[in-house]
Amino acid sequence: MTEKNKLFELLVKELNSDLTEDEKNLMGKSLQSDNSFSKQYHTLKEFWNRVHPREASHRIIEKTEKKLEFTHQSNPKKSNIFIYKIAVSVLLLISLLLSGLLFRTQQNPGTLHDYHCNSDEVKQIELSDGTKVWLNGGSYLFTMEPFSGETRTAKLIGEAYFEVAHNAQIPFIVETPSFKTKVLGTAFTVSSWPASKVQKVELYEGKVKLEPAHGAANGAFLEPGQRAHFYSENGKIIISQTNTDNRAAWRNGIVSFYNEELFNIALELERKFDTRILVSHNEVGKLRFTAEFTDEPLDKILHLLSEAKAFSYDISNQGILIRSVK
Amino acid sequence: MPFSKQSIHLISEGNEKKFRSLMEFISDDLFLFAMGFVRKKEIAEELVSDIFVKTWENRSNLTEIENLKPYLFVSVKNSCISHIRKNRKENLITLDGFDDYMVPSVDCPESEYINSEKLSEIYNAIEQLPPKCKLAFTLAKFNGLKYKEIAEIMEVSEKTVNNHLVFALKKLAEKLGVRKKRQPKHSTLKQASLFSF
Repeated sequence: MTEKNKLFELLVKELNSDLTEDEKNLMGKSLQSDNSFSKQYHTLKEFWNRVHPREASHRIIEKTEKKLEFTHQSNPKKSNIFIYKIAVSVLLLISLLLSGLLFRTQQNPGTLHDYHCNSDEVKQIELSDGTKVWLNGGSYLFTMEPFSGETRTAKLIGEAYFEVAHNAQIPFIVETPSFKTKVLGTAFTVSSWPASKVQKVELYEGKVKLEPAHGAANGAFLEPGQRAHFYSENGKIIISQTNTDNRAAWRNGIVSFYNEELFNIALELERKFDTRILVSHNEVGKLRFTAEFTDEPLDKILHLLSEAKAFSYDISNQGILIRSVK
Repeated sequence: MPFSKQSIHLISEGNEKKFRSLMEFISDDLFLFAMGFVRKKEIAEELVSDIFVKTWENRSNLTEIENLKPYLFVSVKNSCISHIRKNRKENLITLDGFDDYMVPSVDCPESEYINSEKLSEIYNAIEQLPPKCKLAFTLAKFNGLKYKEIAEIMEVSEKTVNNHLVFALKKLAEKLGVRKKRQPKHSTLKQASLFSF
């Protein structure tokens, strides 16, 4: 029974932080030898990691700001400047309305631009506001340019690195099917491949906010040097550190991973080499790698990875099967 | 991050935007936490919003608070408990508010190990946990708080928090119906002694 206690101690530790190598081994052995514990372990772990509170909408922020009389655009102290500001904004509004009416036919909300990049190339583009974008192979970016309104919005399918031209008044928003990345002026990468369950944002400079597309409540902020993995299945965002020295290395044809799970690496390689990769064991999929490859073929990459941390793989016509070594 | 020293310093100097990002960051968790006590949406919103108002009004003292996040949780907890006290008709003896803390409802993923049947087994088991154990578990699992923060909120040691979680997961595992053998039931006395640190 004390041994059971020890195992549950380890499980709790695993859920809340990380196990040491020794502890992982001990856990691994117990899981193999004790079938009923193994079931309990997996059920509880899945419950912990994948079951989340139902999205609850509330109006706390609005209520609070109302009570505190926050206005955001202006100084809460009602001064002459405040009245002056109102006058100016009213004037501005009127002139905007007028110009809107006048130019409605010529330059309404910009025209639709679709940027596309073939699967074996990387494309650099510059948007009308000066924002630079590198599109990775097989990616699409849609914008309405010139940008008008309160935001600059770009819709992305695939992966792109952004160097956003700073404009504090008009936030730049990258929209993907499952989340939004909101920025003022900064450099970052968004990866949102249609087939992938995990999507990724890496931030190198500045600050961004992530908002899930469905139920915008549980957002997250990123600091430079952080990355977020976004699991579209359950809306969970996991933030970890990343390496900013070699930002968006794919722009130079380099395949790089920084402390990345094999599950995610497999997805990346699948796409890059246009094949199917199956990771058969959870434990193997959770192995983490940091690596960089320039122009290496897939079998070489797999070979090097499997040398670094033991796993085995079979290459067949149907694709690649990765499993643990016994 | 909204809880960095720098942000808190800016809030203490009256930066409304920083305060708003702090609210955006933490309001969902505080709301969920308050709901566990008071169960009514309007009341939970009102109580949490009052805590924010107080925090803003006393912003000049914010930098003196060592750890703002657990501090906010404690404030919400206290105001929920005093709300419950005020509104209870009869005078009860035990009123720490934990005795019937409600665990938040969840979305159930259909996955390899979890289905709605398993989930309801787990929920039944959670409901049967001793009150403080249930709260520690909820804060760790549903609010994603660290041991240190939970310890501060519950006013116990980190070791106790850990013990609560180990006990909770063991209980949940037992109730998952995988074991054929009946475990001898713990007497309530034995359970109670586990948690009187």
